Amino acid sequence: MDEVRRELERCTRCGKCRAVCPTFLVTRRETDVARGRIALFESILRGEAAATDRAGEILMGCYRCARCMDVCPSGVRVDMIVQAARELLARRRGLGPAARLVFRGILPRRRLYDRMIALARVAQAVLPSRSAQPVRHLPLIYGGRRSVPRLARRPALRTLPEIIKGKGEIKISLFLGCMLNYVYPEIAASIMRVLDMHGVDIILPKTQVCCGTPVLASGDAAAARALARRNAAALEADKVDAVVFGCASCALTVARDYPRLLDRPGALPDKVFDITEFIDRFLGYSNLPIDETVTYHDPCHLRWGRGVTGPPREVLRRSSDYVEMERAGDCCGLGGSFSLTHYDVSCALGEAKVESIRSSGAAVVATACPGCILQLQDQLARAGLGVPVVHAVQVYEMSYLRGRAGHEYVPFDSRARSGRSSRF
Amino acid sequence: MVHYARAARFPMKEKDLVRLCRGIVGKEHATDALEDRICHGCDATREQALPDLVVRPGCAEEVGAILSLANERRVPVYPRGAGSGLTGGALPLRGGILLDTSRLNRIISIDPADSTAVVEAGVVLGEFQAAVERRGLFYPPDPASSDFCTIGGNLAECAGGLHCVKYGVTRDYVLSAEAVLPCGDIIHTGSGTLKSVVGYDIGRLLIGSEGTLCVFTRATLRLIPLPECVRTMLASFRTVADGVRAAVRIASGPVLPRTLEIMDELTIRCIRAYKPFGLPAGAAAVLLAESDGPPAAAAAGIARMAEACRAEGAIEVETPSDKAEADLLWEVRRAASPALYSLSPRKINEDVCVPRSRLPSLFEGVAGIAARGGIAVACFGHAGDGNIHVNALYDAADPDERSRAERGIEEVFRLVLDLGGSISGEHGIGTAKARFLSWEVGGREIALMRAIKRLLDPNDILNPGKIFPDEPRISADERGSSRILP
Repeated sequence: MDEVRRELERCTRCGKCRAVCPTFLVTRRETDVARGRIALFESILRGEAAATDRAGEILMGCYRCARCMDVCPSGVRVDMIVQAARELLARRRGLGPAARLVFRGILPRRRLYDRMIALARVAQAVLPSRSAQPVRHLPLIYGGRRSVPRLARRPALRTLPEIIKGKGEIKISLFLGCMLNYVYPEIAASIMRVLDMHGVDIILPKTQVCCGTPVLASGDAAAARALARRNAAALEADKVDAVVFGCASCALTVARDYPRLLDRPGALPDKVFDITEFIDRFLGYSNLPIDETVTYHDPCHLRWGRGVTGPPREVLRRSSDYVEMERAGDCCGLGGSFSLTHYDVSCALGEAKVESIRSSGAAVVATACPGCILQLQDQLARAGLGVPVVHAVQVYEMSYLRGRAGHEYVPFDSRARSGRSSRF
Repeated sequence: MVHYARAARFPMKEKDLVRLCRGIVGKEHATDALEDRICHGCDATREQALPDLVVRPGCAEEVGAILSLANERRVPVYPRGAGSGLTGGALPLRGGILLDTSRLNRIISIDPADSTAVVEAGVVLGEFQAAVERRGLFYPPDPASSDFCTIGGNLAECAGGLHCVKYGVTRDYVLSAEAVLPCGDIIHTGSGTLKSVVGYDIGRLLIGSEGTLCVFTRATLRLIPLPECVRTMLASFRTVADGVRAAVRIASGPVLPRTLEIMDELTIRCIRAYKPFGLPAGAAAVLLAESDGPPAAAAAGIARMAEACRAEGAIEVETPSDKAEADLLWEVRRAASPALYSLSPRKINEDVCVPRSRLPSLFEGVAGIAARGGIAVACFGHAGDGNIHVNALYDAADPDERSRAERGIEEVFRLVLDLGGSISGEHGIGTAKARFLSWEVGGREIALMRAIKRLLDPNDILNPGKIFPDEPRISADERGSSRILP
């Protein structure tokens, strides 16, 4: 807490966060920007204000995109402050029974989680699709307003092999996260194929659980700590050179929050690689660019959270006819559960992003976070713009296969059938 | 410092004030929730005060109705744009209504034929500048906060910035303004034409009045053609004196620079520690200058400036023709503020202004004050205007260091006035410098200013406690009196 107080003290209230904060730029209210939130949190700490519902709204209204930290002249760790504020709120006000159940009962238990998702999938199937795209309402959580993709029939962790032997040069652990596991297993499979094509030794620990991002966002540090411990055990069971992520949010949480949650400045955070960082750094470029114009949207947690802007662009530049979009670093508007509680703000940001995509003229939009993919698919569907949204790794995979025409790559799942893969 | 304790909370005798305000601006735009009031109670001074209400009007008529109501009930009203002011202009020191102008954010029109634009007060300066530049036009005032400050706040504070040396300050670009007086009346100053000498120039009185005389709601602004080409120069000097002399030489012609910024030794040291920019070793002063116009003119201008620097003994002069390289040079200047913060999280940031020719004496004098007082003082800023940001750095946890810094700043003010200068070039007086007002402004002039304030705001409801130290309570007698000067 001393560290948090030091950060609070460093905010000079200059107001520069107003220039970039996505929520502020939609609402133009001082309650929706870092400066206001910091002032309020300080007052709560001094006992001048209480942890009321309104305080909750204000402090939970932050996207945690870290964009303000990029422009802050004092370099204030707004992410740390907002996190501390939410943990304080959670302690003083308690979590709702539903949140408690999910964070502490379901997320740490893989089989139960799988079953809940299977149930949600059944519920989802009952409702008709809004558009031709493979998106459907998820009535249980989304109140029927937002389109989301069909939940996967079988989670990626159930279908993908746990171990793939490679050339023995570089060994990695793969962390999927809930979105790749339950919503976009095809992206998880693509990541695994790309790594396999290059002979990387892959471990996909089946004991991995939710990284804890939504749990931390709600301020439940204890539940997040339990998840962090399980994941650390899963990812560190084997000695690996890197832990590869396909989800920018999971990667940020592990890199930024795990040292505190695990109470050790671990080797784990140092090994965090986004899949595009990993490709750019270790896999060379033996691919042949595809003839599609592809543009790129920066996930906040990758660009503002971890400062990664070059590798995903380089991967796409080498894999396609790449075009940069205007304001690529502006938030797409998802922000996890934020978009459920503030769908109007989420849509305002999404619409601006759709305009950037439209004016880029690209045929495909790629990004590096399944959350952004979900939001972009919804927003593009709302706008009636038929631009497919993919993960950058999928573009790379296509270009790699193109570069290998004649030397057919046999995917691990086919190999599995012919008995070449150990566990499947 | 926190004002909660000493800010006498406005006695909410009339519980219906929120209801009445909501009746004017709509339910969702007026609130008395404590949390919202706290969020709106700060500005860039880092002081915190607590208003009783936060009201967000959507048009001039709503502002008028709110002021009229407040005047009737004797409730203080504080206009607030982005809360980016550095002297406390937006702080709701005595409770009352915090009037947030953020909703007045429409650019009404941009007219290339007349080179004018009409904007509402809450429009963000940077967004407006981007909009006019897309049409080949230029609105030069550019305070450091241009990405988030509002045009209304710029008018109220008469904002300056880097381009002032060549292009002047906010007041030079306001052709006409729509403003609401404390009684709630909406007035329009000027005519919107480039020239007009009909009656008193009320606009000039209101611009820079720090929200004490009116609330700006709309302005017709003058635009100029966007210069075709900008060239940049960075020159390093072995001593501050060399750099300052070069600045004076550049600014006195023959080519007026578009910007002319100086950074002193401590600033450079902080910048180096913050991010190594490849500034030459042994540099104790850096000048950053720009020349603009058609490409040939801009190049010729920058060559003249480089010559002036060499004549004053510059150790290195860079004049990149490439825009990307020029942007890198500006990174150095942009790093000044964050670099100082990284050395010391707290600073007293003053913005004194002296006649340009006195700049050498100013730098020399400030160095002496810093040495005698044992204070770290970093100076950088707009050498072309003679407007220098004097930053006394201190540790918030060390009260002794803070008071030494405060005493040092007082000495700087005395020095500046001795040099025929002004204690504030850009930031205004607000609350931060109210006690120094009489150092610079004479008794009769202050009395005239107070009389004007009384005339327009007899009940002292609009932004009370700003500019004038300890505003005396105004008796009914005085209000009725026709005598303006004592």
